[in-house]
Amino acid sequence: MLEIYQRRLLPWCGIMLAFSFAVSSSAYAQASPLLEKRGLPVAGVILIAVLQKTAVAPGDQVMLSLTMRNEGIQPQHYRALHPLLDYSLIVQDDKGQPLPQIPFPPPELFATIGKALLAPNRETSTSYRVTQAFELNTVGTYRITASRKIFTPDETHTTDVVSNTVILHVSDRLSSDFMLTVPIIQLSVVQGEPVDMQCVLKSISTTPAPLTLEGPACGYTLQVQDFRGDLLPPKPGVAMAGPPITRISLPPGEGLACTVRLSEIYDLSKTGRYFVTAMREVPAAGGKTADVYPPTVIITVTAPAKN
Amino acid sequence: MSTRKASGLGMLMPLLFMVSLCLTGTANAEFSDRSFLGFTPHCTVIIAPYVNAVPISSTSTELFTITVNGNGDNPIIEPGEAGNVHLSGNGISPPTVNITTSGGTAKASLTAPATTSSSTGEEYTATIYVHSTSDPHVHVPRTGETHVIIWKAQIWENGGDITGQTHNTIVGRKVPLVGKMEPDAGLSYAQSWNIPGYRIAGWAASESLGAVAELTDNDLVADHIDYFWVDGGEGRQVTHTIYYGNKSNIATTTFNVKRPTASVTTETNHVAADANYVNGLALHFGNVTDGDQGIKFTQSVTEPTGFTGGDTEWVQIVDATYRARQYNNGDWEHLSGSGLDTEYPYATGTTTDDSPGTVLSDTYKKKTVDDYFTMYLMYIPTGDSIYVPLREVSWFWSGTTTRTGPGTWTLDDDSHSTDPSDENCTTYPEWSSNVKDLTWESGL
Repeated sequence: MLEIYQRRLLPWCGIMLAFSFAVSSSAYAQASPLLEKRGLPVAGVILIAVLQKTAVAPGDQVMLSLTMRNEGIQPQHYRALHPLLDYSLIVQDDKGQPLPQIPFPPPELFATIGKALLAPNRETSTSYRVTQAFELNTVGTYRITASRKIFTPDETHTTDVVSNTVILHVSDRLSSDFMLTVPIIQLSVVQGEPVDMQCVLKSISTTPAPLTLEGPACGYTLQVQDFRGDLLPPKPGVAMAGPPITRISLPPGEGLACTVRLSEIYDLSKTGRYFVTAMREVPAAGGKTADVYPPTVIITVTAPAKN
Repeated sequence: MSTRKASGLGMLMPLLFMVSLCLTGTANAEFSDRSFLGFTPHCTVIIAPYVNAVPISSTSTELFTITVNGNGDNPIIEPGEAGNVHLSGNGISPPTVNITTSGGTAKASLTAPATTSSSTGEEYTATIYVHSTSDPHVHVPRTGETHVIIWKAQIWENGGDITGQTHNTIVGRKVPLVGKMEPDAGLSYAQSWNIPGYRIAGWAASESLGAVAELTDNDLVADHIDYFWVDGGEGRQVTHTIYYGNKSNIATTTFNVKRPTASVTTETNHVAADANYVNGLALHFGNVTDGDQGIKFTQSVTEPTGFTGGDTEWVQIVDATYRARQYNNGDWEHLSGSGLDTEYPYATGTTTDDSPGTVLSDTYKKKTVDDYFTMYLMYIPTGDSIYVPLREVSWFWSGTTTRTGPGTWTLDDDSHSTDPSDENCTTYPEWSSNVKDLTWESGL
């Protein structure tokens, strides 16, 4: 939560604090040896975790989408019973402390497969109701990492495939007057190409809303995570730039689109996956402010095709 | 039908090319001394050739007509005189001429059949000779030129004209067709597609939603259409019809839609209420260990000649489930519903299995299960394709068990499918919920 709230003190400090957050992220990784394998393929199999909502109010349901994909060349096998049994989650609070798991009753089993095949270039996806297994009613920022076991090649043992780490914001400041959406939530670009992300802020308020558009990020606070879930720092000098500020009034029902050239702010030159979340402060009733969050955007940077 | 406004070629625009000789003159007029005709000096003669219908199919002998008007002081066009009316242009048979006069208008209608050598974009020149009965000595030719756009409908795919051709394709592979008026004369026209067989615009599948996108009425009147065949069939004639004015023209392409041959065999086990289950003591249909599965599916798929490299997946739908449990105090809870069975896809590979169950504990005194499933074998060809259903297997299992002591349960009754057979399937599995999200509710 720290990196979210302090950003209001200074334009662009959100990015700067994201950097400091990334520096200290090793503390989170120490919570479990499993976290050292975050985002890494195991026998070519990767596990991608994405929150269906990156920010929720206390008490809201938290759903984590999980996609296990075989990017290797050999078929792999796994046991499939139920997401609550198939996946293990590590949920850490602001301080990196793992949250205890809530005991949950055994789920009803419908699809029970002893040895399911995951062929090369195939994936299987499901969702995990995080709040069924963890107490997330306290305002704060949580880091969630999932893992799933797959069989070793000799099929006598299992090994863990660990997902990237996602960041969940449990907030009591969520706006009810605005929606923030991203038209494209999965983007694939070739290494070296510019990377743009479009955000559309729509007013569902009944009155015109004053907004400021600040700099190349249009007033959004960005979080860009690498394939492991570690936050990327902005490029040197970016946060120091004096952004121009434009003030507008957004009529009720209208949307405001803004394209952020991420590649000018972050170093996205390495191939791999990046996870981008944005947050924006918007006016709220009584002269206060509130926050809106769009879904996570997954950017895949691929190597140029060889001639 | 929708109307299309195409970008045009200006040179082919003047379908109604009025040649006003007296007032404006034209480069096509070959005379200038109207006094020969003895017409009134202010506006004596207007020769206005125009075309009132121009569709020609390259494969038919459909007629088209050019009508040429000559207005003036008792103008006449005499058909009996050689060369009074003629039509020039390539690939056209000698026209039949019908001449009428009414008041100050003489009209020559030239009706000609196209021939197989007629080509699109052909230009024709109509010439009429008009003389006036007011001055029978005057007999001067008036030539008006018009552009007759010989157009036809075409079907294109992947940048090539496939009109009149026969193509082989396979279920699930995108068919991206473009309907064109050839030549692109910049005309506004309406159009429609007729695509036989079961074809769809797409299929979306995730762990929370599986839905078919049918082709809409708007899709079927657009100039571009992308679709996928789900069922196979030989000799399917896809037509693209263009409507312009009161004429229409149809382009046809024949598709042989291939479909893999496939089968799914099953092998079932039995229902039990014991601890021989992956999750401990349970009422269950088989177990996950190899050879013990509740139901095992084995598929065989043979792709049609000329098509290789496709892939398959399994998708299972819980058509209905009703599970109930009775607490030791006598209260009942039930869980019911339908939806996708847990993960999408259910599995990949040539075999898969299922061993559903419900865990038993001393919290309860009775449990019942009544589950109905359909397992779908889906196929996707290579290229820009979607999965299509090939085979389906409907199956069920049920059981009731009662706790007779701590950790001791007896199976009261049970039932299950026995090696259920598969059926041909062209109906997609669809869902808007997932059974893993079902929750227990009070009561039976």
